[in-house]
Amino acid sequence: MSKIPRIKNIYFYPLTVIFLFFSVAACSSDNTMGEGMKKTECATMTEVREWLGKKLSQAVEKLGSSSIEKTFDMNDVVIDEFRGKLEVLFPLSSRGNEPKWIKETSWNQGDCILTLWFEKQGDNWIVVDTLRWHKDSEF
Amino acid sequence: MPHIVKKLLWCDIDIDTITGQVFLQQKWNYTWLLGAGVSAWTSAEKTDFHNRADTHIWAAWSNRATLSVTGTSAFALRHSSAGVPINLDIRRVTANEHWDVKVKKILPAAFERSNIVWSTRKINLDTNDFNTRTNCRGTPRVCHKQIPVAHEFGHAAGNTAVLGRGDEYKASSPHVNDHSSIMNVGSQLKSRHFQTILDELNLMIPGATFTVKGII
Repeated sequence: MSKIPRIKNIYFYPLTVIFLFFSVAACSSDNTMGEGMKKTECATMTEVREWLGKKLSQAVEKLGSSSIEKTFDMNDVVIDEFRGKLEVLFPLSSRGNEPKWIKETSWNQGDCILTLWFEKQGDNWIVVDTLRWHKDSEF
Repeated sequence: MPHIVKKLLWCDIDIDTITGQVFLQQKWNYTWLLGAGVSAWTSAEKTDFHNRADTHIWAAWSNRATLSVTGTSAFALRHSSAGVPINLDIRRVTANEHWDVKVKKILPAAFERSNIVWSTRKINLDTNDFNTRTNCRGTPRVCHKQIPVAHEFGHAAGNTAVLGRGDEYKASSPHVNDHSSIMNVGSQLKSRHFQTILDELNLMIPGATFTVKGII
C-alpha cells in the first residue's frame, strides 16, 4: 500500500464528513430563517420587493414577532429620509388633512434590520414599502 | 509654523495660526451607480455631481459658525477677541479617501434613501439629493426645508449616533422637537453640530480651547 492512499484513508474521509456536516447545518439554518430572514449582506441598503403586497399576518408568520413596531398618522410625524418613500407613495397633495395611518415594523437580523411599512386596506395591514439596512446606518 | 494640521480617519483639519482660519476637508472617493431607467454616467455628470455637492455643503456649513478661542497660548491670545471662522468642504479623490461615497443616478421622480455609516466611513447618495425636501406636520401645518446632501454631510462631520449625537428627528433625541435643525428635518446649524470638531480642535493647540461663539 503506498503512502498517498493511506493518507486518504486516515484523513480525507473524516475531513469530508466534517465538511458535509457543516454544509448541511448551514443550509438547514438558512432554510429555517424563512423568507426575508436569509443572512444576506446589508452593507448596501436594499428593498425586499417580494414583501410588497403581503399582509402583516404573513410577515409575523414568516419572521416572528417584530423587534420594533410603531403606528402613526403621516400628518403627525416628521417624514425623514428613512420614511421618505412614504411621502412619494402618499404625498401631502393627495392625502390632504385626512389621517394616513402607517404601521412601521422592524425585525433585527444580526447586523441587519428589515423594516416593512404597512398601509391599512380594509381589515388588513398591507406592505407598501420595504428596506433592509445595516444597523449602523444613519439616514 | 503657520499651519497646524490634524489628519483623522474622517477628515483633515487645518488651522492657520496667522489668520486663525479653521479648515476641515473630507476626501470623497466616488463609486457611480445606476438606478432603473437611466443612462450611463458621463464624465461631465460626475464632475457636476461633485461640484453641486461641494456647493451645497459649503453653503450649508461654511462661514456660518465663528469659534471662540480662550487660553494662554499665543494662538489663543491672538484670536481671543475676534474669534476664528471655520470652513468645511469636500474634495474628490480616487485614492486615500476619508469616505467611500456611492452615488446612484436615478430618475427625477424616483426616490432612494441616503445614509452614512460612521464606523466604516461609507456614504450612499443619489442624484435627487440636491432637491429641497419640504417637511410639513401638525395643524396648522408648519413646514421645514432641507437639502438632503447637507444633512448627510452633517453626519459625516461628526453628528453620529456612534458619538451620541445622531439624527435629531428620532424620538430618542433630546432635540426631537427642534425641527428647524439641519440634523432634524430643517436646515439651521446649531452649536452642538460642531461638538465633534471642537473635540478634535481642543487637542491640537496646547493652551487653546475652542467653543462656538455664534452661528449665522
